[in-house]
Amino acid sequence: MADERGLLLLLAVAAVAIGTVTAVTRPGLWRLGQDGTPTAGSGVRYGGSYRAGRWVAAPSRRQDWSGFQGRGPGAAK
Amino acid sequence: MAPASLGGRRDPALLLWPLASLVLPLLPLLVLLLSALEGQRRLLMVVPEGQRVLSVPFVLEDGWLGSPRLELTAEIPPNSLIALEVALLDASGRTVLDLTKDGWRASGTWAEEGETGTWQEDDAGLALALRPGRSGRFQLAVQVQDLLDEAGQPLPSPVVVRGSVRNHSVEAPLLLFTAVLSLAVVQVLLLACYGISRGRWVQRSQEASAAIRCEAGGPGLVRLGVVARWELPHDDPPLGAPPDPAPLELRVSDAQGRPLLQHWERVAVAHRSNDGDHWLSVRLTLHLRLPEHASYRFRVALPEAFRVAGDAWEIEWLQLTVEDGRMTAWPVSVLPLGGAVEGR
Repeated sequence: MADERGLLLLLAVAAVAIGTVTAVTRPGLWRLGQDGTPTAGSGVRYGGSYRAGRWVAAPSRRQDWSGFQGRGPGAAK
Repeated sequence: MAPASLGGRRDPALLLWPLASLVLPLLPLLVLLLSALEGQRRLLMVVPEGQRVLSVPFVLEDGWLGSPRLELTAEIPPNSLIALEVALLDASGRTVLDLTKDGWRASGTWAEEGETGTWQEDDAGLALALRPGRSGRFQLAVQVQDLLDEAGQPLPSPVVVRGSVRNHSVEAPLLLFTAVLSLAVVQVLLLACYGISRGRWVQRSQEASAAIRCEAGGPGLVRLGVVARWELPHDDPPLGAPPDPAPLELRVSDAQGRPLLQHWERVAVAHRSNDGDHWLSVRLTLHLRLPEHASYRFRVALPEAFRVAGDAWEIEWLQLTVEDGRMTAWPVSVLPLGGAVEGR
């Protein structure tokens, strides 16, 4: 029983330590100069991306607007 | 009330360290709170059509304590679309990141089943979380590429772009998940420490007394649970108030039948009702400390019936539970062994 209690305490401490340290240090976060681009929300187009530490501009592509992208009143109520 | 220490010695049935684990789920929430208290640099840019506007310089810090986060929101009129070009410039004015935000804002009215109202939706903001590689001064360059109305016609008004810069943002969803997960583990730990007994025996009787003989004693406490129920012989509601506290008798004897404890106590009788049913109930928990592991007999007795103001309550059942080896987080009242004891 004592072993189980110790294991549970160790599990709780490990969960807090791993979760909190990961949330603070964010090891997977994109770094400036890293290949690619940072993750972005909806409607974001990057004008290029990093390759081998250099920002490489993408060919200019103008967005063709076809209308609103909202979900309409049903979701807004 | 039994003291927490026995003659200067710590009560072995008192287990305090698991309570400290309750702090664990609070740690991620504390980090979240500290992160929310961090001051942020506000940005404000008024962007006329066709012009590129620079923000005030700001510092993006590199390090392990959180990460920089930039947020921008374009304030555009209802029912309009915007293509906003945003560039991140380093201290030398070189573009290090370049993006376009396609935003919109829509509003209108709705009518359904006789009700009406207005609705509004928008997606005119963006958030960037990144590490700068090394700390330094940066600027944003913002330009409105398009600002169109519903019909696709250009809108002439300048656009206000508001933003904020934080240098120590954290992953809030992960912190909340960590708090919930650790709370679940801590609850299991507390259950393992305070909710589990070495042995458990239950006796349910149709009479007003019950007895259990079992092997008990040793480290921890013996917990006795007494639950009893009386009902009326008919379905009519009771005429009078519940009876006065009832006398409860507890007898503990050893393997040879010699009495170790005879305890009397008056326990409150509660009147309960549910969906037309009425009953009286008693619920009581007692603690004993039996230093030696041996065979013991526990017997409890309550009144068979109550006659109050014309109501004839009769015993329906009585349940006695004996749990051995219980630990507690706080001092509890322990019945002393050795002879007759009169309780409350």
